[in-house]
Amino acid sequence: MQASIIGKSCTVFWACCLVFSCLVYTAQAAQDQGWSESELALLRLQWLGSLPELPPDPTNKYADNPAAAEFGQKLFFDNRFSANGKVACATCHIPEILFTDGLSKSRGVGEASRSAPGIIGVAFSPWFFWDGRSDSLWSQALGPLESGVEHGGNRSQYARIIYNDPVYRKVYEGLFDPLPDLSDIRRFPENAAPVGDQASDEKWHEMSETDRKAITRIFVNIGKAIAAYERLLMPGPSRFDMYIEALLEGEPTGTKVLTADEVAGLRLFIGKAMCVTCHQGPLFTNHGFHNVGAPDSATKRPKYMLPLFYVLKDKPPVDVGRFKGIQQALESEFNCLNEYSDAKKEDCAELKFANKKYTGTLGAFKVPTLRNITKTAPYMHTGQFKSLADVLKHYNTAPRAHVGRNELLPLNLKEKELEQIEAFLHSLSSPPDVATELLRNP
Amino acid sequence: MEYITKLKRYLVGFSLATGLCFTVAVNAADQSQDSATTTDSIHFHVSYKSKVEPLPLNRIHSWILHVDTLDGKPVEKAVITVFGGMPAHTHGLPTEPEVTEIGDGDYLVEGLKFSMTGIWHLWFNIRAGDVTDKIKFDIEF
Repeated sequence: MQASIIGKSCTVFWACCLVFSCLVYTAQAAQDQGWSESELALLRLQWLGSLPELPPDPTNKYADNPAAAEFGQKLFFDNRFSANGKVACATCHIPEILFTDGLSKSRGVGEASRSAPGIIGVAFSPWFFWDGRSDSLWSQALGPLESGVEHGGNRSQYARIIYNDPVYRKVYEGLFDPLPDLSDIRRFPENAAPVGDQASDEKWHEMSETDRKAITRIFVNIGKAIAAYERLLMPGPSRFDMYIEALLEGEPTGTKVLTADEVAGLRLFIGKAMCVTCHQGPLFTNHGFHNVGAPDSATKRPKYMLPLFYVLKDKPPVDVGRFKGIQQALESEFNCLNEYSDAKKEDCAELKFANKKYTGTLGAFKVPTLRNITKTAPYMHTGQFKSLADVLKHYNTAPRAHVGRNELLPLNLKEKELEQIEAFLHSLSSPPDVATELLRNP
Repeated sequence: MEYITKLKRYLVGFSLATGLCFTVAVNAADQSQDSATTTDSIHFHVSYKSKVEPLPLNRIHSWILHVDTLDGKPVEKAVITVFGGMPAHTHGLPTEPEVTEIGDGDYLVEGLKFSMTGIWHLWFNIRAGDVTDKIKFDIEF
């Protein structure tokens, strides 16, 4: 009995020693790197290990259905879903370059007005597109499909592709509902849609409301399947994450994964440069909208043009970003509160309480993730900056915004400090944490 | 000598661990800003309690706001509006919160979201009968 108590006491003693040793080494490793406790707590929040479980998408009851994701992957890579049979989602979201396309303005059947953002980890965001004009991943997927410059097609055309493809039709009807009889061309014209040219629009409005809803439902299910696939695209751990893990586990040797300049850059990132205020959390984004005074390439005065001529010149409308985006989201037939959403009214808090005022939305664009940022140039919503050095220079000076008010304050960092931040950003690169078979056309 | 160094390390570790636990507790108390956190204006005594504690960063959530007169009587049928933002970044709230009365001086504030680290100012404009007043809470993440 006594021996047992002594044995238990010894076990407790050694357990305490082990816990203390871990704490000592964690503190030691962090101290060796010069991080305070509050900085370490902040760094932990940026660590990929802090990424929570992917939240459910109440707007899409197929969001976590593996069969829907498999179908969605097929649709994502299928060129037939376009006006010319040459454009798929993967045309602008190329897996080999981390689901971006390397262009300032993406190219589908024409030139888009903005750059295609990457989609790794995008399912964590409550808003989609640079201006947040969609409040669900599936409704985002539908936007480019009917855009005249991206896929260029329409919902009637896409419904017919599924109807006419025996494999797709079987999968679709197994997942969703039986397809209506689309062989009746008078009832279901080939190119009828509420978008595009006048003829398509007229044909669309000649259809009965029931038939229009039947076609739209197929279109919506296409989006929901694509979203189910996109929800599987998760980020993988980078050198930065290995560094934080080494700090947290108290392995001083593990912290050598970052160079001195990269660590200095990280210190600036969470400190003097204040990058972390918006690029916050394990995805390095708060998913919010901010006006950072990014120049508008469409309305910028060319160097060869005198100011007077520029003032008199016809210019494209100014891109007001989120100010227009939130209005479009509220009016969208595919928003959270709409009949095609599977959500309950109380699930739509983001839409219900979104800021709709011009203050805080005018000229604001979505904060992008910084994971893999060094591999996804060019930068900003229309690729205004070709290099990260240009981006950092912009943030350092915080020029006046062309529309709205720039929220940035001049950083006045030295050249060397900017280089260190850029060096740190290189540590955020990593391949996605996705099975290889999900990264190619099935 | 080596033994003393090891002992020192354990002591440092123990102190840091204790310090860390203490700091976390203080921060959590700061962030929860429970009903003990009150602000007085000329006319009202106001407190709030978040339905999610500690206050969540970057997540829509609700508060219960309690409004009393300065002599401790609950204020009913008040019209309350919310505004605020981050003074350091010269921007407002990322959401448009709504306030509805629950009763006994309690008001439900829905749609609050703090999307960035730093200091937020949250103002409540309270109108009860002929009396109007403003109350500010400072929130830090």
